[in-house]
Amino acid sequence: MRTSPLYARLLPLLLGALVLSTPALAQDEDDAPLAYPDDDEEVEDAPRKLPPRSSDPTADHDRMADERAQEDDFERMAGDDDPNKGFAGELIMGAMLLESSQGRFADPTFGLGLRFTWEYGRILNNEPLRETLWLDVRWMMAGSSAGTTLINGSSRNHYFSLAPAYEFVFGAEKTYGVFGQVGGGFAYQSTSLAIGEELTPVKGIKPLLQYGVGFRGRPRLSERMSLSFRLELMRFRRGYMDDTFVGGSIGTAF
Amino acid sequence: MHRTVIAAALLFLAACEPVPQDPVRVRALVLSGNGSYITQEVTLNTLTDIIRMEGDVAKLIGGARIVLDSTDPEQQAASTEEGFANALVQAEGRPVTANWITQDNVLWPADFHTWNLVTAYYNFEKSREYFNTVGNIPLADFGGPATVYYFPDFILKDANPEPIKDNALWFAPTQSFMLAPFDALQRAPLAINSGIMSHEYAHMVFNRKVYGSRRLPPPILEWGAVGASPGANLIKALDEGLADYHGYGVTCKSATGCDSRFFRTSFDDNLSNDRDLAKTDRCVDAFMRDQLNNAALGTFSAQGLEYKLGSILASALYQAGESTGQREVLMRAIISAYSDETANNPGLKQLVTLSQNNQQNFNLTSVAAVFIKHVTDVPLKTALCNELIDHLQIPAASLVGPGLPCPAAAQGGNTCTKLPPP
Repeated sequence: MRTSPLYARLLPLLLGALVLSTPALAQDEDDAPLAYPDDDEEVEDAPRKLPPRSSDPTADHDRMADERAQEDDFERMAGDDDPNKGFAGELIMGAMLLESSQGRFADPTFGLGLRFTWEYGRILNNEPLRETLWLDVRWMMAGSSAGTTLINGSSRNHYFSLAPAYEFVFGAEKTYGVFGQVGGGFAYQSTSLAIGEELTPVKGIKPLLQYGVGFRGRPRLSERMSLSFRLELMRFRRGYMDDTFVGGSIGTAF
Repeated sequence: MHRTVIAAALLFLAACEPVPQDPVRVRALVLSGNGSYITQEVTLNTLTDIIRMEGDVAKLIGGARIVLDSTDPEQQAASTEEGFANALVQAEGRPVTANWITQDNVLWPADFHTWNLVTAYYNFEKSREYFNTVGNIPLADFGGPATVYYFPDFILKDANPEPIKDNALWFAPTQSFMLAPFDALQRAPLAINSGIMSHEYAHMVFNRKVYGSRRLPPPILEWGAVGASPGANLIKALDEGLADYHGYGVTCKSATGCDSRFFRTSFDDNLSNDRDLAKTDRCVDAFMRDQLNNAALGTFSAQGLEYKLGSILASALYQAGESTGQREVLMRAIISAYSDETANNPGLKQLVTLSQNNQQNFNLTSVAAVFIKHVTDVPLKTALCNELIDHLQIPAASLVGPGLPCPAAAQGGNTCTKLPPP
């Protein structure tokens, strides 16, 4: 379970209040809980008193340091309590605006892909980075075709990328956020030119640079599973050609 | 540290582009011996920017919008040819981006449009080479790279509000080529057809040489503005016929040899047969002669008569060149006749000037005389005279005789039935 900083600060107070709460006054003597023998009974029965203010000038500093340590412990505990592993898988769909070889603004086509996400910030043992740093492994595909009946070409671009991201999360549950992403990989292009019945295949690989921004959400579906979705504007520099993806994705996080 | 990272990033990005070689080796579509297109490695000698497809011969621009609209106030208000041309271009477009895959130092097009683009450039380069080597036109005379609008929105609004499709053309007002998108034409795209691209390139050469690179050529604009416009009709037909003839000439420089029916890979059999240069029985008939002499340019063109008359001329030239085995000699002579400042041997440009005030002086006889006088080889001159007299229905007496250009041996052929005098 995730805890907000405010909640993390309130939690020790609430727990402390529970510890300090008096036994139920309505109970009679028969209903009284069985007393376990306690070596410190004398101390237990003694009225609670604030410890005398020390004359040591570093005592406050020590106390504050202890409190901070306690808060850190709670944060770490919060991470340990999260049943999710920080993985997600999504199906990507949208419009791929291919750089136009014919000199138009773009050649729009349908883009389809898969993406797997790992919130690697979880292993850094640092609560602020816990859900803000993650990494995508992504495959996308977009195709186009043009030509006449006699001579025509069909092309497919496959984009393989590894892209870390930083997300600015917001909301009490840190369920939503906006992110920026930069990564790289390679693009595999395949084209088949048909001249009548004759086919001429052309294949090649180009370096790929990926960058963009988006909105990411992970509303919880159950204790261990969340819905994972994104809306994104992503740019792919395929060799010297720039393709732009505008679309979204949906999947599950666990 | 930062500089190192930036330098590395720039190096990475620079490395993404194919490294141009000189000359550039690419794969393009060429016609094979069996009449179908194949992919073949070719060399581009003039291409300087392999991504933008720009070189000494042409620069290819996509996404442009050119609209000719007589009601456009800006076009109406234009006071210069340049101003008029600027008013026509409503969207400049942007350079194309060829999509390459490099294999063994050869650039392979990675999509259909890149195949189309590179083949178009290759065809333009071959056309210029033909006019340079066969036509003896110095490279400097071609000017800078010609603008080629690739798949533009080209609209002749007075005729049709929709963009033109299934066409390739030289458009003098913008001094540019247009390769329109295909729609009904589902055979070989026009950009891939070497003969058709050369036909269009020949229009550019005609404009440069005969019209002096004018965007609004006076023979068309002034002669065509009056009722009967024999001069304007004829010069339009000459432009088309000579373009066919040189389009054929360029095919003769290919590995597969001369192709008199070079339209056939892109158009249907009817059009291909109509424009087949090897057809021997084409003749000016009474209707054609009447329309040529008496119709207004709009009427003449609306019937496509400039193509029909042009094809008759092209076939006559073809027969003369092939029958004597002097094809290239004749082609060179015809090109030299486009413009010639030599005294007593004017070219077409000079004949236009001489006929400026009376377009009837620019007629079949005077034009034939210009061509014939630029041929020095006597057998070729005789053959040319015979073909022109025969197919264009020119009275032999106007070309043969003392002080006239044709040798006495030339009395015309007997393919066409002689028409009575008009």
